[in-house]
Amino acid sequence: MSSEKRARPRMTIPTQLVLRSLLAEPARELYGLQICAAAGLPSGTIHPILARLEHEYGWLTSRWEDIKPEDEGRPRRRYYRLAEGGAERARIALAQAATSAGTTIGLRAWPVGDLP
Amino acid sequence: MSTPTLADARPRARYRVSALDYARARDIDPLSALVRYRSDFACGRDRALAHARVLACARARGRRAAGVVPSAAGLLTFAARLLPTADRARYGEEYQSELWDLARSGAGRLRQLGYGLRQLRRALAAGFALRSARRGSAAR
Repeated sequence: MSSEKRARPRMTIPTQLVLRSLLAEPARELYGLQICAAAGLPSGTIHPILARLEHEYGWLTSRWEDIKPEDEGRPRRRYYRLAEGGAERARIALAQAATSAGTTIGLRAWPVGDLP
Repeated sequence: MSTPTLADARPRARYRVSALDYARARDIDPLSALVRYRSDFACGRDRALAHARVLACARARGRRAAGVVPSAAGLLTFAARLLPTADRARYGEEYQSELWDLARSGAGRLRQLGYGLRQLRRALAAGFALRSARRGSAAR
């Protein structure tokens, strides 16, 4: 049960938006505010999602920006990208989420009297 | 090293926080920073406090220059404290870095406070995710 639960995160709309924004360019690293902008989510809302995807499921990896803050005059950023294998798992999960959403919508759209 | 007194407790705590901030800013191992804090304090309370003041001024100057709203930075510090101890430093720094970027992009007081409040609201969820990931990896 627990391993099944661990295989895939709950595909909430914000989770799907975050994954889609990272999948747009899987090789590109993005920091938190860029992910928020790409996903169309308000800043400050994605860290629980990123934490789950990175630490619990291993779909993401992150690293500190390689700068010296005192030279650049600003703090270093934390960059995220899809981990090896994470992109594929994310694509599958998104496809499954879209299928199940489509099925639900299809069932709801079906007039009750016309059900076989 | 002299025997610690109650009067030393607050400046000690303040200096320990500064030492850890300093370590984070320069990517120094926090343990080394704490060792340094102890030896600095052993050399003399006044010297250690003067050093802490210099560090605090530098930090505040940098934030002011970027236009960071101090109360938003305070909210983020508090949000980081709600996370598991092992993750506080990393996420604390990440939150502050994003606030800095937000301020540099011209975000005003309200937007920065909104960012701080949203992080604070979601800190419990982030803490829960981090704790459950840690439990999961310990079980494996």
